[in-house]
Amino acid sequence: MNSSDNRSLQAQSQLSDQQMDLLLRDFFASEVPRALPESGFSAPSVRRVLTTIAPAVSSPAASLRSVRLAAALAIAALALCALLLNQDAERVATMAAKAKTAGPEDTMLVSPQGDTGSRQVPVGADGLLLQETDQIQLAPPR
Amino acid sequence: MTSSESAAAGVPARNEEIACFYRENSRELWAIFYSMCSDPERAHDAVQEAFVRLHDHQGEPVRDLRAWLLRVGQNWLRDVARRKSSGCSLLPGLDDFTGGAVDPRQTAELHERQQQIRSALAELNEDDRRVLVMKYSMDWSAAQMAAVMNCSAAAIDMRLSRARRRLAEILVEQGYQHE
Repeated sequence: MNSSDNRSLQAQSQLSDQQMDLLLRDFFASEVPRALPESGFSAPSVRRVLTTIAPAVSSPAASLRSVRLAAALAIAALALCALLLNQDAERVATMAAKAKTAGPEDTMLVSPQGDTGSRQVPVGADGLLLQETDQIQLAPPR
Repeated sequence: MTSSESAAAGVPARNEEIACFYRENSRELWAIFYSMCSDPERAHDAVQEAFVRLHDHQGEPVRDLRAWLLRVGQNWLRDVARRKSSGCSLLPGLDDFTGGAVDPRQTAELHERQQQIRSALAELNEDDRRVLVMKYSMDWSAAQMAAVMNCSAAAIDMRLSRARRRLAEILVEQGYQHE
């Protein structure tokens, strides 16, 4: 038997696409365990599973919606940031104005070492001790 | 209601959730495991094993149930493949001979044909095997497979046709006798 005979024999025994389709249907009909439930592709949960498998697949309308939503969220976030910055700037300006208007007479008699716990600490430029401030009469004498 | 009572009340709900997920997804999981091992019984065992482990799972809640089950089943298949090299297994289809209702010769021939097709399927590349399994075990359309495999339905049709042709060639090379 030569090679051309082999080829013609192989061509005769070659299964057609239709035969293969039938063969595979029969094969898988007995291959799939009977205990397994039928899979309903239309079930919402199966669709959810499919989206888990192929997250990149999405409709153009859905992606357009998501782009619009993202743009709206970004604009809202920017507006909020601008509002907060504006309020902060106003507060800083008010504080600066107050600081400018406050004169030296407004300074409070507070020791820079006020939190040392010692009463033997000068609280002013004149060397007045914290202990001595207790004796200062705040109410005018009658 | 105490915490133990509320936990006890949550058990049937969880069982029902697992049962529902099994009904809807076990066939698809089987098909994926089958395309990995080309053994229907072992793929089924992998599905069962994954769901049993999910039922017994006590750790952190599973976020992606399907991915978790796939990983457990896949690991189980790997373990079995490793053990199989040093162990022995029952003859396939031995139980079918014990019933007596079916002709043992026919059954043996059927098993032989099935085994030939299985080994031919195992020789295909992974994508070709997967489309054939999805098409014939779950009866999915080209569009449904295209959504899963992230390509066009036309590409799936071409791949299906090519996979069938390649499988036919392998079967002929193996000396498969069709009726």
